[in-house]
Amino acid sequence: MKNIVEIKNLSYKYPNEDDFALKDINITLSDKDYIVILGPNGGGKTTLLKLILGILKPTEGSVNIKGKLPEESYSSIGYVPQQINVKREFPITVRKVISLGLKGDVSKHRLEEKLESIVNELKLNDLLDKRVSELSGGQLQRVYLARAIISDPEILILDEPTSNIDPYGTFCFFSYLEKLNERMTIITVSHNLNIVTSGAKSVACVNKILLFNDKPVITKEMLGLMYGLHDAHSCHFGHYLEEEIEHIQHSMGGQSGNI
Amino acid sequence: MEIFSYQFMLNALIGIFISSVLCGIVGSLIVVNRIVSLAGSIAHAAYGGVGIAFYFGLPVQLITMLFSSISGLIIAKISENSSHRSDSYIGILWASGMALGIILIDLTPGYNADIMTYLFGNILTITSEDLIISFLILLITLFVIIIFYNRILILSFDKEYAMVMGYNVRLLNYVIYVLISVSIVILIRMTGIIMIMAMLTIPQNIAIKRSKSLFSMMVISSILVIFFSLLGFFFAYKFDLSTGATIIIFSALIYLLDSVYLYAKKR
Ligand SMILES: Nc1ncnc2c1ncn2[C@@H]1O[C@H](COP(=O)(O)OP(=O)(O)OP(=O)(O)O)[C@@H](O)[C@H]1O
Ligand SMILES: [Mg+2]
Repeated sequence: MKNIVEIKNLSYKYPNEDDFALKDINITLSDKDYIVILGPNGGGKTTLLKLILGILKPTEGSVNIKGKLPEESYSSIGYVPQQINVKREFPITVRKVISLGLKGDVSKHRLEEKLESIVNELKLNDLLDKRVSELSGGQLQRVYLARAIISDPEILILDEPTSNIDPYGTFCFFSYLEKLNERMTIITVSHNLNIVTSGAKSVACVNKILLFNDKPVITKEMLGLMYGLHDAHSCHFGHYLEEEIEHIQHSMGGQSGNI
Repeated sequence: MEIFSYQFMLNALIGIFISSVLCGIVGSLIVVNRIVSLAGSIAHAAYGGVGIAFYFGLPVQLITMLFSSISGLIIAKISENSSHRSDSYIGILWASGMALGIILIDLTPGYNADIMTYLFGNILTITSEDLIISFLILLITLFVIIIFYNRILILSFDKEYAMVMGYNVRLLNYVIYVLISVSIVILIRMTGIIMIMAMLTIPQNIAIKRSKSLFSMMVISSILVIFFSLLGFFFAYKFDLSTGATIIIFSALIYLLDSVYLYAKKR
């Protein structure tokens, strides 16, 4: 299996900040991997994704996408942002937003074809000619997903893609990701622990430093890192979380191993 | 005498037309990029450029454009590095550019009535030379917008995504800021530094509610600006009022009516 993302000794400090947001991160992902990144608010998940995307440049260490720098690999990456700064008043239709995901020169015919298939897949037909101001948060998230995958990227990067989606929608979304994973490598940030057992192949937990598990299993160390619960058992919340995780893993067939 | 004033009138009308189209385009960029106060500070700081030109006896239009482009680029550079503090810098530039202009004009021997044109606008003072410069700027603006439409659209809608697409976001931003700075100098003729912000925001805000694309917002805004300007211009001419202020009052009234209309429709 060839390495598609290689992160080595990566540290990042925002300009004008004293403290590192990320410290000494190492991960290697191979083709068709599916990694879930967990972590508390402010843990550095979005920062890590932006470094992989080349929006931020490492303070120390390196990020490699198929042996190249992130900024040289933009054509192979699709990105669904954690939509905090959406300009809702912007005069733009859903159709236009999605078609902006196509990179390079694309013929009108090809564009229509692509658009139609993606729109059917994500059930966006009724929304195509609406303005973004008319969408709900969850609809907008699906539109952004469509924009990210319309170009068939090799790597799909998602930042909390289900934060606005209802439970059934989330369930469908996870199975859709699993399907996409047959075609592309997936890196997703999530606060939803269910995702770990819904097709993911590995888990990472980020809170300035990163813990990695090449199986879709959340370890006790990860819980400790996430919530500062060094002895997870001693705390009510830690206990609750462990039960929750056990429950999820049990309902999946109980294997704390590969899928 | 008749022909002389006819020439004046013709120049003014051509001036209004060119400025209005520029105003529709650039104002739309300002509104969708949410940089209204930044544009305000560039417009006021431009007075520094006017002061420099008068003091050293240089061509006013060109020097002011140069000066405001530089201040626009400085602001762009600063907000790139510390966007959360850029509104303070906007305030600083706003006032200090203006102050520089006032001081330099104090130091320039002899009172120059033309100065009032820059503060309050007077399209009747537009010269054929100004018209040629304005027309060139309009052509350049149209060229840039047409060639880079998609990139400018993506950058304005979602800057992060423009970065992910591998665009040279920094350069593109600089281009937009220079376009805005230069256009503002041309618009100053029409409404003056003090009232320019109304023309860069009122028509655009009427247009944005009726547009499904940035392009149509620009077209609708331009048409609205032409309409407001002609209305204001002839009204001011007839009743001997200040042109700039009359244009603004008409725009504001129509904006108010439109808002009431939209509000009533929603109920
Ligand atoms: N532009 C910025 N400038 C300075 N510090 C920042 C900036 N963006 C984020 N940070 C800081 O970096 C740290 C990591 O932030 P990041 O957005 O990566 O967290 P996150 O894990 O994505 O959190 P969340 O779950 O809330 O999305 C935080 O402490 C945050 O305050
Ligand atoms: Mg985040």
